[in-house]
Amino acid sequence: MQQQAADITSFPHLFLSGPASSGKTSAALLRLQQILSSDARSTTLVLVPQQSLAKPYQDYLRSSNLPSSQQISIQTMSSIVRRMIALFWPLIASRQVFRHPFEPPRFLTLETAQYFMAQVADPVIDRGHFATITLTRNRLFSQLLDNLNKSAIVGFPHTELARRLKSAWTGDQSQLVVYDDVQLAVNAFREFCLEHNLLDFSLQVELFREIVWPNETFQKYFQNQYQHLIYDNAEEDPPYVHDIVGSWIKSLQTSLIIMDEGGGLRSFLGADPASAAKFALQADTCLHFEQNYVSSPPVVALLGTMQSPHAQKLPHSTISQALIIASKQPRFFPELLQSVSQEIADLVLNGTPAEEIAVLSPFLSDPLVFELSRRLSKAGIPTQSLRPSLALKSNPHIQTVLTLSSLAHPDWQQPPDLYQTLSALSTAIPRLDPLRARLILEQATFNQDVTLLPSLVSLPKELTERIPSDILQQVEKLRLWLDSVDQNEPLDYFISRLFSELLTQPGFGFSENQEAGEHTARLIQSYQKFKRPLAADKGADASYLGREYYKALSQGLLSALFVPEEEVVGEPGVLIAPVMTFLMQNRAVQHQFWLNLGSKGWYERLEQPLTHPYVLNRQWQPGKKWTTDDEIALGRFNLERTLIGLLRRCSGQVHLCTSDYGESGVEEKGLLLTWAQNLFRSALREQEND
Amino acid sequence: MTDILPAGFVFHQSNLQAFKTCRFSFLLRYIRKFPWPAPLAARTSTFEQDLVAGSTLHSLIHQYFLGIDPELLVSSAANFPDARVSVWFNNFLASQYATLTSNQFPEHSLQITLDGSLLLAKFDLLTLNVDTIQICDWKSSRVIPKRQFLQDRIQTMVYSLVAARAHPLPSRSITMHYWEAGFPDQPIIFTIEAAQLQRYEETLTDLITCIRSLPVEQFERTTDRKKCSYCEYQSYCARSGSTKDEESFNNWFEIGLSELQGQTKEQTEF
Ligand code: SF4
Repeated sequence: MQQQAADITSFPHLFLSGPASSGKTSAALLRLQQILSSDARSTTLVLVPQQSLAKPYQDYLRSSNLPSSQQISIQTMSSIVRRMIALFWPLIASRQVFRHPFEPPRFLTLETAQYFMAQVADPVIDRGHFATITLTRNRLFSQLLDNLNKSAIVGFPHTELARRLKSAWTGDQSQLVVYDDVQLAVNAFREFCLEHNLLDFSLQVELFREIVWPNETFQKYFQNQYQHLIYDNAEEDPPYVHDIVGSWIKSLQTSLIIMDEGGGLRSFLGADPASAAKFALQADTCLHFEQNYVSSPPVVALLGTMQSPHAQKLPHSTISQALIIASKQPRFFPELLQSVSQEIADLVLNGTPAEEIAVLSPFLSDPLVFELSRRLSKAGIPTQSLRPSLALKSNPHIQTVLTLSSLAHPDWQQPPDLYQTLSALSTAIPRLDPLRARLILEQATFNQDVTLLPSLVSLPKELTERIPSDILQQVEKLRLWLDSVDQNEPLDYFISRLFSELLTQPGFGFSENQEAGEHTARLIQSYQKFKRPLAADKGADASYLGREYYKALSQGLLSALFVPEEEVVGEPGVLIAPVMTFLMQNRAVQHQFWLNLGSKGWYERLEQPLTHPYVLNRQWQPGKKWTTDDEIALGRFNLERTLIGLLRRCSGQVHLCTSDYGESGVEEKGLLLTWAQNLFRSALREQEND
Repeated sequence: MTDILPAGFVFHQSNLQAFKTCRFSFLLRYIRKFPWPAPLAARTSTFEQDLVAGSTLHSLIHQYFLGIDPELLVSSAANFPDARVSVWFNNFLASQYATLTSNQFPEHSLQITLDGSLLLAKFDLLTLNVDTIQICDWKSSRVIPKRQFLQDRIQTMVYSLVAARAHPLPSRSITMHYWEAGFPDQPIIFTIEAAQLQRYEETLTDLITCIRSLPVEQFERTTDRKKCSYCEYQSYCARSGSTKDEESFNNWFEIGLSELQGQTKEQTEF
């Protein structure tokens, strides 16, 4: 079958479907090889919905050392959209969509879009709109943007958002007013963008779809760029990507569209498997892979009963080979972590490579990652955690730089508080312990805020006698340096100088500290990206830009800023990851440890009172209502899809890990726990009856 | 061979130039990919502005060759905040290089294998004629560079060699045109004959072999401190405040420009 899928001559336009671990991507790699060997001068676009899914192709590219590796381009549609809008901007300008069409576009990231949404929506909220909504402002802004994005990727005018949301609503009538408020805010935001040449993701998609893609000059260029297409995990993309690819396929020499049947994991982001399935109608040939190349026989048997309800019940012995439960359930979560670490250590001792083990939970808290990593590293086992990036401002090096920046810029009028300054001071001067730092700072604290560092001469004698003079000299050096700052120096220049002229000097906290350098570089980069769309405004001088950046960070608007979507921490080893992240890695392991079994996070969607991913969806029937039954059915569907996805990526066993009291300290009884208990109970009952 | 390069490592003019400038900077930047706060204030106040203006000029010329109406491009250039861009683009339109033919490839990438290593070049404009290959590189320098300086650049070697090897026709000669937008009537043109190409190939092969053979500890810091004057790793190497030097400026400017244009990125973008 795989050879068939690789055959570009017999099957130039192929649709390949099948469940996870059935060898679809391996077949695609064979096909890629064939394209390269038969047509070295052509270019293949490998299209994937997100970066993690590109890994097999990147690995192939790296290991192959092909002279023609320039002929493979791995991209997501959103990266294509952004680049093509920049390249064909004059075409968009000619359509006079923007108020200043010939000025350069100002691309927004998720975070800078939130910043501008705040400029528009804050006054709306202050006028009393969204009064019944208890979300934090940042979450409110992100849901407003999410609405705009949904309209663009599904393909309906953003002005229809309120109507669509209202038509599906069945609860309290007061919510209908909220949807009107949503419409008001998103309309105002779009107007603001058109006025200032700002391009959030939704506007990028609309412009690409409506102006760039149909343009003849663009088409001529784009057709020349690629001759072959491999589109993997099409089910994880929204319908606008399918529309574009669908209208393009026939002008390509060959195309392979791959669809994972159990996919659509990113539905909340607009992934639309039903839309992707329509590629089958356009293909010359459809192939379906069934074989499971990964799962162990007991896991395959378990999958069989899950997928066909009329299948024979599994004996207890098979279930307990697939799913491992502890003989004695610990009472509290920390005890559970202890026993999980012990089990992992035993596995490694008995020869299981650490990389073949994954610890999975719907959400990953800092204490969970810290505790597990600590215990495992004590046993000499490496761990790697994979989770959404921490907020920039919670990083101690970055926090130090930011606090010193605000001290150096009194005109920002955002003085740091005592505790923030305390921690910054002891990071900047490691020999200054927090207690002594506090004694110094108390001399200059008003209403818990610190506006400047006290000068050496102003400190009382009894205090200076308690602190070594060389440390006091360092504090004084820091104070003088901060005092000498030109308020109009751009923030990135300021940070770069603070770093090199002071913090990395001998005796200061960043000296010979590689991590501090990396983090500071990241902060500078973050600021530079932030200022890019703002800098064109009149009056946006260095002081204004610095102040706005600091404010946006403090308010959490730039929470996980400009760092990779998911941060990989640690060397390859036992993987600690959220379930969804693991699934989107598309890799298998021998042993999966499932934590927080009782949590509803395994299947419930996030609370989103201002938007609705299933109503703002192309598959939604107009006029239909979203009911509690729909919500329950969705939860069951999500759980089943997640379980099947995980089991198909398990080549050994799943370890079900539960304690009387969950991580949150309460007894939790979600659907997953109930499913597992019922499975074992009924098998035991059958065994007893036999 | 101690080869510390990752599998599939691609050599290009920027990383080879970086190696020539300072081995340690090559190690940090291209192998370890180590982010470090650049000495922004040590660079000239116009460094960033020049980078953005230069990159915009490249985009406009690219758009011109893609067939976008020149009038739209002139309007775009006129609305760009840095007035030099409009002057440069008009200079371009009035130059010999604005003639459109069917054998032109703007922003074109080519990659060859040189003694088992991958070598990439991304050309601003490549024109394939029956008897010549013409390579054009647009520049926006404040001061026109010396001919000798360009002749010895890694860029001249890499571009001509990659173009010649990727389009092998024995009788074709290579011409390399450096066109300065601010000095439109003074293009610097090199004609590269077969013997010269052979020398380029040997030089580049030797350079790559040397990189591949070095153990990690021999990726040493340059002893010429002038080369550190614009390097991002100044504070890492405790070389802050090194005397400024034009060559170092040019090297770091070229690296910045190529990154801004995404020229030297891997073929992966998200
Ligand atoms: S600062 Fe100087 S020695 Fe250090 S990497 Fe840069 S050029 Fe090399």
